[in-house]
Amino acid sequence: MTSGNEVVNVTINGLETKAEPGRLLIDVAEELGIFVPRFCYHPGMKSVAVCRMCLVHIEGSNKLLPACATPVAGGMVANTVEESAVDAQEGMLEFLLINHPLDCPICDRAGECPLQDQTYAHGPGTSRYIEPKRTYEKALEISELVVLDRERCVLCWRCVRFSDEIAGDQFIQLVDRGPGTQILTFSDEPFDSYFSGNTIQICPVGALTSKPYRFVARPWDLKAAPSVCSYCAVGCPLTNEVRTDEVVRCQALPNEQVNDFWSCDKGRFGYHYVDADDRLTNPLVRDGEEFIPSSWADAFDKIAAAVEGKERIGVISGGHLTTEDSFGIARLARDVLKTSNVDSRIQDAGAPYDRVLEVAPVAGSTAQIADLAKARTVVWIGPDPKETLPVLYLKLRHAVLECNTKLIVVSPRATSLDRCATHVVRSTDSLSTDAAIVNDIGDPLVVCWGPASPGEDHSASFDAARALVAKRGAKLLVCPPHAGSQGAIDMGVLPSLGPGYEQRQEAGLDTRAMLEAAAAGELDALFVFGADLITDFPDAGLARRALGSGVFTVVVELLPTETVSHADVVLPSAAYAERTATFTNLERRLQKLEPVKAPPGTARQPWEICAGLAARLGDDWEWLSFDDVWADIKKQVPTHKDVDLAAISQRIPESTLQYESQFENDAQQGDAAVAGPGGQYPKGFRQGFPIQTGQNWPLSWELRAFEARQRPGYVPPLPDGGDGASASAPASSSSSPQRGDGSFRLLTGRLIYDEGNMVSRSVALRSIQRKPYLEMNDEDAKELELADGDEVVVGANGTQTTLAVAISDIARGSVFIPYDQEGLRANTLMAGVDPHVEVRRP
Amino acid sequence: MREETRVTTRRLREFGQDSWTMQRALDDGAYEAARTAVTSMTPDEVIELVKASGLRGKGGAGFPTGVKWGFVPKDVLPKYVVVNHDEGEPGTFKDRELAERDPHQLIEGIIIAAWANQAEKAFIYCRGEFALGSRRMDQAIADAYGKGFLGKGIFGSSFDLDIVLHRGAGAYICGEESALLDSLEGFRGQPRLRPPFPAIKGLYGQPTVINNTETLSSLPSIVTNGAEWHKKMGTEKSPGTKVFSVSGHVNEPGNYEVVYGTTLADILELAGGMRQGAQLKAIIPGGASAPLLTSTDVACDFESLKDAGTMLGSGAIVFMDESTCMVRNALVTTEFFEHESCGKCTPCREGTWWAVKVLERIEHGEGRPEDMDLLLDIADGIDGRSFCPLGDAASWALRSNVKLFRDEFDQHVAERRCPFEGEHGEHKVLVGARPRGVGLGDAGIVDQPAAGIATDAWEEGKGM
Amino acid sequence: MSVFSPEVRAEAEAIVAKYPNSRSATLPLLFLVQSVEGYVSEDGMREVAEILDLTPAQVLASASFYTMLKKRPQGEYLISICRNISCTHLGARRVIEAAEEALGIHAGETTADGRFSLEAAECLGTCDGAPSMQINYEDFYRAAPDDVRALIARLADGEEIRSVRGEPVKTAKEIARETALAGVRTSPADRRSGRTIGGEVPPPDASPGFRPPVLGDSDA
Ligand SMILES: Cc1cc2nc3c(=O)[nH]c(=O)nc-3n(C[C@H](O)[C@H](O)[C@H](O)COP(=O)(O)O)c2cc1C
Ligand code: SF4
Ligand code: FES
Repeated sequence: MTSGNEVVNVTINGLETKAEPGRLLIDVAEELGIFVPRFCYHPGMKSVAVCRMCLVHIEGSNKLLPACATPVAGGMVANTVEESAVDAQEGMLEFLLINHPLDCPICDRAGECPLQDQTYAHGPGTSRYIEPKRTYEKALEISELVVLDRERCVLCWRCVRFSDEIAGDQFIQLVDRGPGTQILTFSDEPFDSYFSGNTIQICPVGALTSKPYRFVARPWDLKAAPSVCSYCAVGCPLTNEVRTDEVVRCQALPNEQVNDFWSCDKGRFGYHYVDADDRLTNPLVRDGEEFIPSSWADAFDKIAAAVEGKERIGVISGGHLTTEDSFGIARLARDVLKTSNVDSRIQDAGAPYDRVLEVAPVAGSTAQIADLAKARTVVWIGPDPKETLPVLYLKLRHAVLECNTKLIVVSPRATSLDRCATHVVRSTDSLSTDAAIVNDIGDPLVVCWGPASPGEDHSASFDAARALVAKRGAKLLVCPPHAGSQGAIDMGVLPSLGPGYEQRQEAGLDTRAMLEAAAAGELDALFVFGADLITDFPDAGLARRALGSGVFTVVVELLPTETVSHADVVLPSAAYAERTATFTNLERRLQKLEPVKAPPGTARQPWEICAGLAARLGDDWEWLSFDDVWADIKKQVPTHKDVDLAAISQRIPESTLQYESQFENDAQQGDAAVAGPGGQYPKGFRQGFPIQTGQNWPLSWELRAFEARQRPGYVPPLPDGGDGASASAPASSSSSPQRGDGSFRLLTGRLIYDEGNMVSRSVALRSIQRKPYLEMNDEDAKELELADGDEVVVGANGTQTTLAVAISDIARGSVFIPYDQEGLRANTLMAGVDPHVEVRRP
Repeated sequence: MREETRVTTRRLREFGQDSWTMQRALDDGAYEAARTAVTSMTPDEVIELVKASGLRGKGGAGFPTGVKWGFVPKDVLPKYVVVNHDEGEPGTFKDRELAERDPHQLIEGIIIAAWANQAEKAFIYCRGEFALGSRRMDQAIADAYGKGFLGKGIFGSSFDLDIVLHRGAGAYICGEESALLDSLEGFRGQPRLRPPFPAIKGLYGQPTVINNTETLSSLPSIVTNGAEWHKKMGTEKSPGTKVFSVSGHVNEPGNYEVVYGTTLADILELAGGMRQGAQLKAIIPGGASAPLLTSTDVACDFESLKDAGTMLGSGAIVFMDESTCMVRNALVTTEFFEHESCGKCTPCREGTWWAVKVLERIEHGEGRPEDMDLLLDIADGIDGRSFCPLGDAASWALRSNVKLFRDEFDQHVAERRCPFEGEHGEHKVLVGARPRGVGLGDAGIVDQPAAGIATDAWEEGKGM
Repeated sequence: MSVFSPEVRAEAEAIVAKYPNSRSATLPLLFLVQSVEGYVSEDGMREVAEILDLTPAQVLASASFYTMLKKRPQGEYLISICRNISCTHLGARRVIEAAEEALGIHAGETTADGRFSLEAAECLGTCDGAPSMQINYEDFYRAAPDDVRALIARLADGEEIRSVRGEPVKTAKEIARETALAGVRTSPADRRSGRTIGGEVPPPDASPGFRPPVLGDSDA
């Protein structure tokens, strides 16, 4: 917040403070602990000053001014509780209420409703309005996720502004005018946005509600804890909110460094897997064709029996494990199982994260998300971020639209970023050859690289990124796919890197090699942590052969998967809502998860399982708690030796808002108070006296958000030296040659909603999942005499399937098929690196 | 004095039906002022001239035109001139007549303004309902292109100027300059948050001069006759002439151009006095937005009217005789603001809606004694708190009706009926009667649950 | 199915070319839809959205703001009788009632045969002719109940009638078309023509609130 520039003195309600000129009065007041009532203002969006709720008195002005649109200036003397201001606040609430249905008893928002709270705090006791209220048809389902009730709407425009300004999905708009003004979508076109859930969270009344959460709970029955989204590598902080021990809602927590105030709908509505009926609750041990439940001790005995004295062991871990888990896995593999065959790359198999060290002191990002807005140029080499890293897409869009950053997109197929990009190229070569582009690359420059298409040889795209970074001394934002990916890299779950990016002399086998070994009968045991190889690995056939080879397999999982069905021992894992842990996001930022419920049955955290196995195999790490693990990490992982755990969960600065309940001083509330309801309205002044609010009046999101905004997390500093200036120019990348007649390079990638194990457990999200399809360049289509929507037969290594063609802007000779939609898993069409498919007319 | 001082209305009064044609205009020496400005004056000289003349905006705010031009940054390109021809203030019909009957004077004014501000593109935002005016301006612009007064290198200079005629689509608020800009950009015509002001960031985010039709039509005569000539007319603070639109219960309603400072009495006399010697009851001196007056010995200039507690506004004067029901007057006026409120800000949107409901009850004999105070509270609740002046205006009109004629309101409540019933036809409640947009019907005056709303085309398939 | 024929589509492009920013063409294009459909149909709004690269919702947002853009099929003749101050005080309500009787509908409605629509208008800027009215936006002054009945009768008989200014009254579709094409012939295709790309162009203006995305001007 405090940028270096000069500050001025401002007086608000008699309190003196200093603030940078130009900052909004409403924010400055809030930091003083003075909450100015508001509806339309939201710190994440531009002011429009339409609700007129925040009118305050400013000396020297003959009119009241909206605090949300009034920049502070030197010597400004403002008063938010002076007669005329209070009168205006009361009047405005009376106006807002004359047409408000007051159906609070059946409104989801009741109890955490800014209108309710602020009426309570600033509103008139009674209404003088005796005429009929404005009525509209209630509860329109404007999408599978969002329900709209126009009668409750106070026309703050937040949802419209969010969709317009932040998401760029202008599907929900203001319609009609005057007293007939309302929020609406067009005809039967749904509010079809990956970010629609945010509008529910910022709606200051119950006008927009969540279809999955509708009528499920009352805020005061909820228990909530701050956590971090377990899906993608952006790592948006979220709440997990439970009612009678079932997760019923997730909401975005603000972190200005990461997600501002937003999350995508996958993170917000993808929580149902936690309480899925088929969660694994006890260890299972194979007995012939079936599994029998067993104790942990027996399960461990069985494993010990199988691995003791064996050398040929492989350890594969999925992308969704926490930093602690990854450390446990790496240590179990190297110190206990004595193998360097350990890898965490599955969907992104073969991604050369270790080679990032050639140009950076870490095998990860040297840039942070916040750098995107500061950059003059951003080069994007990776997948379509809107599908795979949704909130990063918002950040890139924001950088272009609001901060005049020039964006250059390098992708073999059209991405959502293209329309706000200055240059879009389909081949990495253009980066060095196209003069127009080279001229547009200015400093500061941030190069974003992430593995794009599963199964492809990622070194080509990486070389392009690496070259640019080396040549320009640019910052690099490494964008691995999953929430746990970077943590795994940092903790050494890679065949070539140990914890803290320590280069191993002789690298172990990577995932593909391990599977090939297993398939060839050259592996004695395989440990799989939180990964469904058969759906996730970009060669389903190989995964099947490997797991079917009879190799002794241990699988640690949340839910039954096809991989689980091949296991010899299955160990149930605790889910993220049930854990104290950290995720390391793509900036290498550590953020804290806190438990809101107990794991089912005897499920354990993966790191506990590692420690347990180690102990059983004769190496007791003495890991009893989260803190024990971290004590160990700090000892063994040089890059993390200075991690300040307090800093990760601490609020900085301490909140200045004071509550009548004094709960901010109540240790027990701890961080739960940040996220969950149960707080109280902040102390303010009204005609000089404290507001009288009710007991345990739940805190509206306006305030919770303000509180939580101050949990930035922690990014381990870059070790000095080794910034890779030495890097030599890479071999120029040539996209693999087009083979003639009907053979195409197969590009794939995950769509936001797919058959993924966790997300597909959410009925609503599954219902809006897209059907599988095939993208093809129109020239290629012409040659095959195909038109948009035509059916084609796609075939590779034995399998054949029929798909609808979508003509799109994709490199010639390539087709795109989504990775894992209902009815087709693209990895069944893959064999080996850089897979190709045959495409022909039926 | 009981004389008009015809300056901007001279040509259209002297020539008959075809005063609007290029031929007539040229006979009368049109475009010479523009030629002089473009070929023999620097832009700054023109701005200085207009400053010196003391010309004040005639669209409502009365802001000194030259000063406004002075705010426009010189170095930012492109710049635009926008003509505010969205005349919608009830009682006002001066811009309509000026554009219909002397469009060339307006175009000449636009050229002068564009040259002064170095704008190579001008937009005329013509009120949608003004079919004839648009038709004639369209023709006049075509003729001006034909004569080389518009287009590339006008008057043989190196200055290019294009005029784009743009039609509104029925929204009073689009007369408000920033709303006009949003409307011209294809958005809902809702006022913008200011600063930045249009002169700095206006149309498409570029510096933009917005002037009223009458203001621009006054420019040629100033360039021709000079600042001194202009300052000599009218009062010190309000120099020049103003076209007043006179209507209501007078014998000869119409536009009358007089110097600022002329009294209402004189203007009433110009308009032939009250019809059949009827008694004057109330005066709206500056359009529906202006608080009422009851006496005619007030001079019509910005200062005097301000001192009299009202405003000159757009120069629309409505004289009402004693047959007028002031409750109905308040209702009609407030209904107008409710219908035209853009709906952006709470006080205007909800306040006008509420006031209309209360006034309707009173007019139909269902008023309560406490309603008058309630109306005043509603007015206070809007005044000074709305996003743009429309809300303020609604509150002023409402307040002055209740304050000045409270006894008449009380009478309605006491007699449980309108004492003027039948005078001018029943005051039928026009539910949904007023122009409807593509919107969901006039939801603003829908009483019955969801009437006219749930049935809308784009709602089918919605709801549960 | 598309609302605009190829010819009309060409006119639409000419309208777009009037402006530095294509989005400015929203209102004229909606009038153009009205001139084809008789009102602003959903398909029409979809087509305008497609031409201007906006979402249909964005077009609806603008369209629904303006009273001259009709959402329901309108009569061939739209009779607008002013209900504002001067006219009401000079008996406009009687005129409205007379028209309602003559047409057998309420103000705000359209006759079953689709020939007439009636509305009580806000100030038409013709208070000097109060009570005043417009038929398809041509002016008629000092409308007495009898005059209105007579006018309606003549229109019903298909007679041509002229406004107080001697202008022939056009049909609703004709006047919508004229409105859409106003200024097109004199507007050379804009030299700095730029097209908005949905909402996805950097606004030149960082001030608070919605700012129009502007391609043409962003780099000026
Ligand atoms: C609600 C409202 C309606 C307005 N309507 C008009 C109008 O119809 N015509 C007009 O010229 N100015 C109107 N104005 C004034 C304009 O905002 C602006 O002041 C004027 O066009 C500036 O031109 P001028 O300086 O030449 O008067 C209106 C202002 C408000 C607040
Ligand atoms: S006062 Fe508010 S609602 Fe009324 S017109 Fe202005 S901005 Fe719109
Ligand atoms: S919060 Fe400031 S006007 Fe709405």
